[in-house]
Amino acid sequence: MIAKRLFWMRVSRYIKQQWKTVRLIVDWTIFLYGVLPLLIWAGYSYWQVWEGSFPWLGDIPYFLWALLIGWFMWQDRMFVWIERADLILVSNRSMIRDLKWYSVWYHFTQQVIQYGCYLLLLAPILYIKGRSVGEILAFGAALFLLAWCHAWVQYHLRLRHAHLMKRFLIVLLAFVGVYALLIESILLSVLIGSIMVTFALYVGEGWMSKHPSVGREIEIGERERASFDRVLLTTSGAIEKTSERKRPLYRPRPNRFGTVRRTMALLMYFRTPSHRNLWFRLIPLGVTSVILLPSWFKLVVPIYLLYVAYQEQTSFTREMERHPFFQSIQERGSS
Amino acid sequence: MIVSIDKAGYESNEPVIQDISFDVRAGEILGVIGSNGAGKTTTIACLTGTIPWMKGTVEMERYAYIPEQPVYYDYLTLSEHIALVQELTGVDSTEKTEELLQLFRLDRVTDRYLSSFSKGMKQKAMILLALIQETQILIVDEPFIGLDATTTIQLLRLLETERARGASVLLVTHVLDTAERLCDRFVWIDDGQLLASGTKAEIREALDTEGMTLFDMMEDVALR
Repeated sequence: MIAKRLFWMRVSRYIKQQWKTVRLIVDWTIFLYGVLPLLIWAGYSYWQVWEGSFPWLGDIPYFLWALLIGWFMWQDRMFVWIERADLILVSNRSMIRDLKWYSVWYHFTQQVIQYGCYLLLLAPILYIKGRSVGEILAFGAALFLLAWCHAWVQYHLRLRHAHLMKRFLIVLLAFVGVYALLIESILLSVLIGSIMVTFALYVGEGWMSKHPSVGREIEIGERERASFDRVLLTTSGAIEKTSERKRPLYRPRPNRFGTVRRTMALLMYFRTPSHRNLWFRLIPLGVTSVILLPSWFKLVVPIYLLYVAYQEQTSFTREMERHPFFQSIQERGSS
Repeated sequence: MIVSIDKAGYESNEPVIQDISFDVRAGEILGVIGSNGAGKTTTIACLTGTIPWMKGTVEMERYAYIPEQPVYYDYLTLSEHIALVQELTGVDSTEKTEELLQLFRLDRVTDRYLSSFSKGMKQKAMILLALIQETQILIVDEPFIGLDATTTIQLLRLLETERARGASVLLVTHVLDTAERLCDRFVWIDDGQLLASGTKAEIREALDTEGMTLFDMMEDVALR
């Protein structure tokens, strides 16, 4: 009962945290000019795929679809909702077991939703290729089982610090499994499925009752829970991307494609959140306007964007020239 | 015998702890001593299950743990922490809780989140949460860091009270004069290995350091 309460507390807190991060990055202008048009366009295109407006989608070889799904599988990350305090405040083994159980359910539900969405995207293509609804659903169920086994095996390999090649081998196996399902090779599908289930049973034996690697599981969980925020915040430029390079970010490696100063200026410009966010807003706004405006009026948009770019370049150059670091470079250059 | 460790070891890339064996008896305070990076905290981490033993056997009854760095739930208040611990252990320690809350002057902040506490207050909360469990083993890792003089004395008295109750205390510290005054026996870990164990007199004999204090012994061993 306590484990359940703690689990829900953690999940709701995690979701709230994610929502806060999203709101930090995506304000209403981005939603209005970026997300909303994209959603409308995606919905319309999806409907058109069902209508058969893109027959070339049926010509894409299964191999590429399998590769895409394999890539999604590789991105799947399982983790448990256990915190350090669970282990340190009270040494209660049954609570750890319960939390593991809830974590498995959490991941299971997440995978059902995730692979349900993938199936929805893939369904019209399979339909175009002549599969019946029953066959598509059966494919979805098999794909989910394969993905679940894959995520489970990957998690346990990660716990054991398995070599990257070993982990890659499992993805490869899952990829062959997906391909076998797509080309309707029953023998290969059954073979790969059996191997994956056996692997899953083997690596997970005793995991629920014994907790030898719980410290590592906590570490992985902490990292995975923080990864969403980290990726979103660094990609949007809200925080500086952590780099293992010793070279500071403001001093990039000299290259042969341009002067150091110009590269540095561009990097500094795009690494400043306010500048980057301006273009995050302007580009979707421009695209939407080009779509909506009739005839030659469309030309107004690129002219306006170029004008903004020119203004930005002028003001940023002026700003940089006042910066002591650039002043010192210029002094060094002239001496 | 409440804790029994036999030839236990832990290895990451290189051996961190090798073949450590010791036991903790009922009603004693066992001091785990050694220089920085000797493997004291790793030994405790293995005992508490944060990292696994790679070999050997470890037997231990239910324990309470006071970590070096406070570990708590960000989203629970002090009173919620207390309720959680009481519910999980099934021990009704209301009276003791009240007593400790007053002793540590935490009775006015029970509705506050632990994350808003100062370091010393967090440490006090950790001590309180461990003591109200009334376990037979108490593992205390570097407890004096971040505590003021009054609280340090209070903690020493509380540890003695625990011993008088019949509980065993596993005290990891490098504050040697306090350890010398408080502990009944010692386990000396050096470079991941058990250098010596026993009472102070036994360690002196084993290391051929007659008449020396623990501090002098450590210096002597380091210079050898």
